[in-house]
Amino acid sequence: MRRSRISIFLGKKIVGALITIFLVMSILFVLLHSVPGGDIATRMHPFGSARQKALIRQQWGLYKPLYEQYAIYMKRIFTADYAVFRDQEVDAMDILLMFLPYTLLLFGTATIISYVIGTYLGMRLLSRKGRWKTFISGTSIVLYAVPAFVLAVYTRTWLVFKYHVFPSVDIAATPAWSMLVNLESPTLDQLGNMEVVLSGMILPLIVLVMVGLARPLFLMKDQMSAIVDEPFVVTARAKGLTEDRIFSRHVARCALLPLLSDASVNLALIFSGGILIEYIFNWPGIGQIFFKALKVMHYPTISAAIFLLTIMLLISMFIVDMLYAYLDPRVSL
Amino acid sequence: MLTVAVAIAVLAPYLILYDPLFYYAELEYVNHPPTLKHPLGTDILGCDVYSQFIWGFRSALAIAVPAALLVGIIGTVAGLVSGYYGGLTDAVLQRINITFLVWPSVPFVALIVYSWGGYQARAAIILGVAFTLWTTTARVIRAEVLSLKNRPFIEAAKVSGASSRRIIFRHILPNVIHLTFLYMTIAVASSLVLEATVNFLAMGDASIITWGRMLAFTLTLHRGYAPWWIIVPPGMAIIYMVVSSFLISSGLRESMRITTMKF
Repeated sequence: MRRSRISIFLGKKIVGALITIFLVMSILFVLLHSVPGGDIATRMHPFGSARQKALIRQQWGLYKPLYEQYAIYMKRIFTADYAVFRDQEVDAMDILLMFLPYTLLLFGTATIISYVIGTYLGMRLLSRKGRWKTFISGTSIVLYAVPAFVLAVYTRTWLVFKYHVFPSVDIAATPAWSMLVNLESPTLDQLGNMEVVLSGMILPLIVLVMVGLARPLFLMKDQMSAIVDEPFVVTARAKGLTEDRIFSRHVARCALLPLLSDASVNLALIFSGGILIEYIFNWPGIGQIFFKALKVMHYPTISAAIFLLTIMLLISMFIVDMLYAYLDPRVSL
Repeated sequence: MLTVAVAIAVLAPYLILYDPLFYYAELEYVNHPPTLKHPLGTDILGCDVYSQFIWGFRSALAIAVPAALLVGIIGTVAGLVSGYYGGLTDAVLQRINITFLVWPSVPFVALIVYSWGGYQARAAIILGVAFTLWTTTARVIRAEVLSLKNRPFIEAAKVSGASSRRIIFRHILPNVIHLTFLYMTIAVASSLVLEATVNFLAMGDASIITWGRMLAFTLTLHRGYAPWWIIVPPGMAIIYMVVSSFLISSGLRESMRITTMKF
């Protein structure tokens, strides 16, 4: 019984995700086709000969009416075929997948750290009164308001270039990216590369954590102040538990659930903010590549990046949903 | 705090000392520290930073406020319709909502700006920002409508023969409009940030003077290390505006006694 319910839930989610991807790519198709300045062939291969361009037009169906172009585009999207020419060995998706681990490393770490610190501070904020409480909530309001890129520009200018607190590493220029290609035989050389990557990661990580801290913190605080008046807290207090124990064991655990459901929306914001941080710190992730492709309007890379980001986001939202259903017995699948 | 910003924006033509787009070609005026003649120095193109800074209030408000209004309108209508009708309408609208939620915001705005060209860049930015931000508003209003729908007064209105349009706009809308205003103030802050981001990445229109555009040169022309008089005024102005609208929204929230909220 329960098993079949889970499979129905899974099926519903997957169909929904497919429809979402389809809608996202349809909007992308409309937007890409409304950009003025010649057809796709010139943008995809700017210095190609007339024959090459004719080949591109033929392969992407640009001689056909718009609805057939749409069908061809959708087919290419869903079969992950982003090659400009048919015999191209490395297409846009391969390049993006090569840089994906960097993005996951930076943003995964930052999200986890900011959620852990944010929930911890949010938990402590309510139980401790006094100067610290006002200080932390004031700071986090300001941090929440500061756009990530302003903070990033400030820290990069002063902490890296002026006072040399953090090393100025250009990860994209070092051969560090070869680390990803050859994972089977890690050598000492590659460990050195890892050092470069990590030392370049510190500052973006700090900036991302500072920016991402406020949201879980405020949510936790709000949730906890809403839960504190519930009867079960009075019961716990009547049992003679210490205040610390009531907060950490009874109130905080209950307040964690809405945090999880909010995380699925928050992930979208984190992913779309990724371009910026990667661009400022020259972090070799998919955001950086996406940004460069947007500047020259390289259609296959843009489509591949949007496709990849959407899929990643949907998968992580799905995991969050499953976790929520697992943790909260009131929610049935 | 926001009144000061509005006052500066309105009085901007009288406060500036130079045309914000006017620049000196002579090298001794380029990238110059603050002097009496130029209170905040000049940037790397030779433009007066102070005048651009003042003019930035105007363009920031001219983009953020219409965008927030649009967010309020689209979000409220979508939330009302999908919450009240339910069923297939609700499913379709929720799908569209998720679609816009998962679209990365910066490329979305950038592509709209590209496709509209330089002629309507301001309108394109407003539209793009509104399209990316309406989702949370619609979600919250939908949840509120769902809880209102089964109240007795709605049933009374239904029994007395009111059409669904009348029920939605006369009976349900007054009960959720406070949420619209609350989320519009939040949308002002988010649209300020998003607009500054797009201009910072040089994906907006270069002829509109915004704080994002002022900061954009730090990465391109200065190669990361810009002097303080170029990066401090626009950054601080963005933070000031965002904090002020954030404080308004938290004040509104406290006056409405909403304990939990999503941004």
